[in-house]
Amino acid sequence: MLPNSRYFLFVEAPGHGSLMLDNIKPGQPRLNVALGPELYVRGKVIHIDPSATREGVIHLGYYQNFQFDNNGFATGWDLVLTPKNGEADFVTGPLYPLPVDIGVDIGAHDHWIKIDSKDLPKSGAIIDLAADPAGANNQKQADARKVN
Amino acid sequence: MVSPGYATAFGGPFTPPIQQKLDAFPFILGRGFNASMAIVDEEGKPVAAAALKAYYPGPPVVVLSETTTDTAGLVTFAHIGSAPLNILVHANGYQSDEIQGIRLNTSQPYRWVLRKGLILHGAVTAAATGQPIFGATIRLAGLLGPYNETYSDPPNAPLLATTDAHLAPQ
Repeated sequence: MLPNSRYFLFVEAPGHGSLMLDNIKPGQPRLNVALGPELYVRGKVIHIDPSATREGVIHLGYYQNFQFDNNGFATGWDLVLTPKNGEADFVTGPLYPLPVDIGVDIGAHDHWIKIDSKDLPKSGAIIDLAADPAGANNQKQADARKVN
Repeated sequence: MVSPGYATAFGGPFTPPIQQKLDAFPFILGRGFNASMAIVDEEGKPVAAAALKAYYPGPPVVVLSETTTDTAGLVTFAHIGSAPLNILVHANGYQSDEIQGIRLNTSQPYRWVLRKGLILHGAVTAAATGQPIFGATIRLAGLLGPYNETYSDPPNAPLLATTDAHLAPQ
């Protein structure tokens, strides 16, 4: 490790929750890290119109934002879901104990939900493609992501 | 201008009309020269397998070479041009370092002394049981200091350490 530097570390282990440690400095006392359980969000995408699928599948994305000082970045993942009777189950993770955005981009409309870190792990999350209560807001978020 | 077997040459900056000026600009490429570096530790012993990246900071940034030292701690760069170079070094167990704006010469290898890296000890345990976790990985998410780096993809971030099955003495 380099002197006069601060380190930010990913700590991961199969079967355990992950952590990002911040402001780790060389020369500091022994570093003890306790990993909790794996964090997942389980849920369902509902009201999937067949016209919204491409070759019979839809793509669900989820991402988490990491931040240290003025440096921020997002790590994203993509899941391919095969709907059945207009619905598709999903499991996202393992996740870091940070807020996670989960959603589906279909055409001009995005359907995203945000799960706060305090609510992880979570079961029963619903992404309703028929609902458009936050359509305008979601579109703004999507536009912002595209700009970024 | 970059061409295999020749030293990189820089021209400009150009102002519009750029294409017209480029057409009239005579890029004359030379073979450049070769120069070596000797990477040693603080006791003067060679550091083998040190990874070096030599590049012209530009603009534009042009990488001259990415290579590793041999068992004698030596590395040679070929077709070096007249522009000053930046050189980065990473070696396992040593502090990473960078030289900026160096002009190597052919007469003798540049001697670069690496300092031992600082070590951080620690343990990863399961919160539920307090038992040590074997095979936990510690990867670099970011580094702020003389050198700044960030990595956004945890599985592919540089691996710094993997835990063994034992808790070291406190």
